[in-house]
Amino acid sequence: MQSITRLLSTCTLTLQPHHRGALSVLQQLRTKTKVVEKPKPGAGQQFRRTVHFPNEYTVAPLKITHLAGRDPVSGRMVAKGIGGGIKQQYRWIKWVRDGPSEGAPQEEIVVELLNDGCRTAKVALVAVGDELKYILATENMREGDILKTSRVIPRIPVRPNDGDAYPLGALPVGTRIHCLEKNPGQPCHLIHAAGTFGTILRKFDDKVVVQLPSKREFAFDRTCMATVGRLSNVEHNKEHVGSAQRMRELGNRPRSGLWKRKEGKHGRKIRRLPPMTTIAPPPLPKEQEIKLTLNL
Amino acid sequence: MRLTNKLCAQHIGWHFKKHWQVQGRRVPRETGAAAELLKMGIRVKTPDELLNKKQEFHPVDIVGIAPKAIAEDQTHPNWHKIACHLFRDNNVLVGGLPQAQVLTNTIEINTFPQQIEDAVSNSQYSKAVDRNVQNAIFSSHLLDAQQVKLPKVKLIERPAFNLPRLYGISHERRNRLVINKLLLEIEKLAGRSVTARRKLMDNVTFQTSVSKDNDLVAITLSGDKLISSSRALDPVKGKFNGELPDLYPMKCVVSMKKQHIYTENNFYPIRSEINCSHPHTIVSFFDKTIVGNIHGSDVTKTQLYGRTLLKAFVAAAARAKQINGVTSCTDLQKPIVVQCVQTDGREFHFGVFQLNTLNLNSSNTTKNYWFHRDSIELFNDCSYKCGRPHLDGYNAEPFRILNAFYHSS
Repeated sequence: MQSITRLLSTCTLTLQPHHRGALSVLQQLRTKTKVVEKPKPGAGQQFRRTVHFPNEYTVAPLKITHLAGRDPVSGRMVAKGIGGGIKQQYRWIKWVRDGPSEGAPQEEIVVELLNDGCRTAKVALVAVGDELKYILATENMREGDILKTSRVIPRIPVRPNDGDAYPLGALPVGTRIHCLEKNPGQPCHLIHAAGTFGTILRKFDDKVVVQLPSKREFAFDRTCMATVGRLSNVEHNKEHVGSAQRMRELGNRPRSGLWKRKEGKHGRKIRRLPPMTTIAPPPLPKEQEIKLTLNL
Repeated sequence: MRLTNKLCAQHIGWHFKKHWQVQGRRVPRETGAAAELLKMGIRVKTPDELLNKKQEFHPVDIVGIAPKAIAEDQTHPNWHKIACHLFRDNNVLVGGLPQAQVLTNTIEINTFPQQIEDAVSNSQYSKAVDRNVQNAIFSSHLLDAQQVKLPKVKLIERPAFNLPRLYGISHERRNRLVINKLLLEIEKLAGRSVTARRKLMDNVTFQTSVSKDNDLVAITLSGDKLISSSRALDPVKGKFNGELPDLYPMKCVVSMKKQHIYTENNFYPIRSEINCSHPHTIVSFFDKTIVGNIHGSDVTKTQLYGRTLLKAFVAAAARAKQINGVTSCTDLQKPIVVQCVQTDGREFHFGVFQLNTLNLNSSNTTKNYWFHRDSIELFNDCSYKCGRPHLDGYNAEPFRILNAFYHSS
């Protein structure tokens, strides 16, 4: 028995030099720092999920992949506190409400109001012609409602109903709006969360001043499209998560050590709001940059 | 080690490396050098042209183990320039029965034809028949020996719950057993004189394509059971008037998938020369795990009714085109009547469809007829209670109607 053990030990000894060569290469690699570029959170990119969008628009629920706070390119952690949760299906919202630029408005019918797990407001399935699409549901929207969409700006403001989409210039002062276009031609990106709304405050020149849910005032172009009404699921901000487990179901990881008394982050000094800002035109596309390599 | 400022301060090599990370990214600015060179007749090449020359690969046509998939583009043999709306078994019309009515140019009549109404109300059965029907329900819903994994159950209010998987009789088998056993009871009551004039077929397919107000619609639907008869059903006596529902601003082809690759075939499962080729009754099953809206919502009652109507329509239209020629799209000399039953094993929806015209355009004054009543339940609950099979709220009406349908001629 002892002799076998001795034999085996010699075997290992003779095999070792081969391994050592490979290991040394690995170790050399280990000491080299691999530079990984990762995006910063808070720049409009989300790290919760990727949605697998097909080439053509569809109302079929889409499949998603959870990212758990990681950048999908590098795979590195970017946003903390995200992970897990119930796998939801994503409903693709058609952000651009395109209507005729002259003549009578286009009419659409609300077929069904649905809860979408990937967003807080409800979504409405809308039919027009042989087309089905999703839009965000407003507070007072009901199944069977007829919605109007138009790009015409008449001399006298229209009398809109909930869910109608018009340019800002066509709406009367004091109207509550959501799904607002930041610049003409851009998708309607502003005011999407449950129960939120913007208010049209005043008009000057070819600008319309809207108070956003943050209470700040911005002047938009009068041709920017907006949808009328307050978004559905008004009680969303009053809802209690209720338990730690529910928080996990929502896809958020346990948090601790985030409370910082002295940094002023939790509870700021109340100051006057900044004055009205005119929305800047969309930035020019970034120039293509060349990445030169240097093997040092 | 990470390239930190401290580390770079210690080592000039690492410092350069860090510096290069920033300076290595350059946006080339237009200096006018290229234009100057061109003026002098010197061609400007990009480094890629010299360093990374493009290699062109010529694909070798290899005969593989399986035939190659045909590309789904304009080279496809079934590609058409005009797109067609397709309707298949796993879809329902989002607008429900009104949409099906407009699509098939049909008016709705909320009773059965008089002959069937009389047959239903006059039917009297012995207690033994009722007992046999109840036994049929037991044996198909509870006592069958099949045990397969049933579809996953999710609680809407508790989406995180993973409930234990249930084993039992599959939906398809349960439906088939219930229909087979009910038809067996009916055949026993009917006697040889009637049954000799009927033939039963399982899993048949109907296919037809129709044009509706400049839209092309291709419908392919299956009948899980087809009862054919040696004589065609007589047209319903009387004239019926009604208006088509208004779908504005929807079109009647909404929620049907639009495709360029399709075939405009007409298919009726039995050749017309065969003795029992006339469509009599179609039984189709409804399984909510297979049939659904394209947007993923549950199927509503009116969508279920619309599906029954479309099943009856496609059978009648496929038969009419088989007799009169595929291209016919006019009023029929002799209307075709088809009875249709849709069931999920518990709930039954019956209807009688009369195809008067194949011209579905809204300008046509001749309308097709759809006689139906609201769906009814065969029972409320069929389950084990205290270890014994228990049937709650048994209703004999579906059996009576099915019997009347089988007997009608």
